[in-house]
Amino acid sequence: MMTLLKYDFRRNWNTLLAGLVILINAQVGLSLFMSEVTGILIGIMGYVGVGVAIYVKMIKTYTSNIRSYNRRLLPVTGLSHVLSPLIFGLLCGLGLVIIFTTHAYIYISMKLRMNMASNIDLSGLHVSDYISLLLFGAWVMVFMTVIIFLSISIAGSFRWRTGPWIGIVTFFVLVNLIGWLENIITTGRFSPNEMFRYTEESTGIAITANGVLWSDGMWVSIVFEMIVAVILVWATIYLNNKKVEV
Amino acid sequence: MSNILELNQINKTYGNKKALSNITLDIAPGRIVGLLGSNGSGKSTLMKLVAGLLHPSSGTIQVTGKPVGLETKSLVSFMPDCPLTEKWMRVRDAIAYYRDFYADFDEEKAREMLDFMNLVESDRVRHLSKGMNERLQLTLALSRKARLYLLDEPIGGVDPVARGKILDAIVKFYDEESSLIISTHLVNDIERIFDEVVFIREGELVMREEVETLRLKYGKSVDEMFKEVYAE
Amino acid sequence: MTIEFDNNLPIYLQIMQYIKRQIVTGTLQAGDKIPSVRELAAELQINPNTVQRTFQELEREEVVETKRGLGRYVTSEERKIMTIKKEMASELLERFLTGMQELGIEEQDILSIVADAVAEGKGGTTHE
Repeated sequence: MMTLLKYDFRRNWNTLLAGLVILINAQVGLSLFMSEVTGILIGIMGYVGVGVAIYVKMIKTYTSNIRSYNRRLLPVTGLSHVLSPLIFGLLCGLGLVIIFTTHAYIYISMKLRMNMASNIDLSGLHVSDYISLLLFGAWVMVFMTVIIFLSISIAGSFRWRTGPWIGIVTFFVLVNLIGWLENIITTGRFSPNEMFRYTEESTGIAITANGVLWSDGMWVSIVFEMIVAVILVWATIYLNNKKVEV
Repeated sequence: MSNILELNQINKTYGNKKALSNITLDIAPGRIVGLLGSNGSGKSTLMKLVAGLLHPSSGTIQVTGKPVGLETKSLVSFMPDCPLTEKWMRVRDAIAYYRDFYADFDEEKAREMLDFMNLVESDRVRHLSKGMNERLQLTLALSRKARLYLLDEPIGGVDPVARGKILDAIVKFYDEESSLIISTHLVNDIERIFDEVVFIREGELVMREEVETLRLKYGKSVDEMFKEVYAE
Repeated sequence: MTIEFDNNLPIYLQIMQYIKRQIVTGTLQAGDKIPSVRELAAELQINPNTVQRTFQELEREEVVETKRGLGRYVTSEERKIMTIKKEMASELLERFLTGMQELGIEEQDILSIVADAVAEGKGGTTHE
């Protein structure tokens, strides 16, 4: 699987480098030339945009991997074919997060050093909150991706034009089904809105984080999702080996 | 030694269309077999089934006694009619790719063959002409020490010089422990290297014969037999 | 070594003929080593099994012999080579006679035609 991963990176290397260069140039440009609030907003949008691009790239990598002859002929396990794009996406995402964090850190330290009354007060945030937020976010992404991979494989098992449509339908069915099951198992849903609290003050916006609420409900939810993920991955591998055709 | 390949009652249906009907076939080791048929007769489908790219609607396929799956992928070297290289690769990347994934890949043999085929390692794959690309694909496929080689139309659409080189390479790298199945509709150029030929027409196996027997018994070349079998 | 193969006739027979001709004309001398199966197959671009069959037949006819560990050699018996020459000549003769008869030429005329042709041919070119 590591070899598969290596080649997934090599194949996308040019795009990744180009993306990196554009991102850094854009962010530097924004810092220098834009007013603070607009700059931050657009900057964050930029990062989100790149994140989305990485995600899409990962999905495309998976799709082409299960369809291309040279990949399908390789003597590697079905699990490798599923894991490789996933880890590819995670590593790229990690890279992005590191860049973002570095940028944010530099930005904040610069502001503090310059002693300017920042419009944004971030004193309410802690590092541990940040990390648990990232982990949680990563898990949500992984889970979502597993569902998407399965939908793609289901779509690939049908030959005709209905294939992609079946995939899309499956995706929505699965998401809703799993959400509904989770609801039954846990008491009440965890809502992203509870994570941050925005308070409007006369000097601007203050953000304090509640952090990720590590309540019992949360743990049950996650364990449930993990079990479901394993089942979905198993189903995906089964389909890839037995049903998907080129 | 037991058979390299055993196909038992293979059927492949796509909706209403029967791509392959009731194919039963055994191939012993050390044979070079011609899989002949007109376009759309089912030859490629057959090869893809053996390579594991497609799954039969019914019937079994075994390579050296093992059912088609993860294990047989290491035993079968397939050269399909489309390139197995990725667009970003140079020739040397393609070699590295094969070396990384296939334990039976013989890098020295590959370099030898690249030389023989006049391929340069630093060339970009997407800049190669069709003929050069075919040579590369063949090099990759034959540099593995596989038990079964499947070559889908290795000489179609290729100039006569390249054709000669390809046939040369096939004969040079022959091994008594493995077998080759070569599908083609250009029979004349290649019939001399076949031990036996299998004729497929509209998904059915219509004839299977040793080539020299064809010539002895019927006084016909494979080319002529082909024309007879596929006459409209 | 390039042979024009006729795909309508068994290849192994054609190779046998070719090798015999080489022996009879002296291109391959008695006791000479002949190429291995692989070498010949590669040179002629034909199936190695076919070459193998050729050699087996030639061995059976005692035209070539295998020396263990050393390879295949043309027979060292001059007598055998003469026999082959005679066989090939008589095959040629048979074909010639049949052909002449098909043309409707009488037996007595055949002899004189041949005598004339040989006399004229003496000053001409010899071909392989």
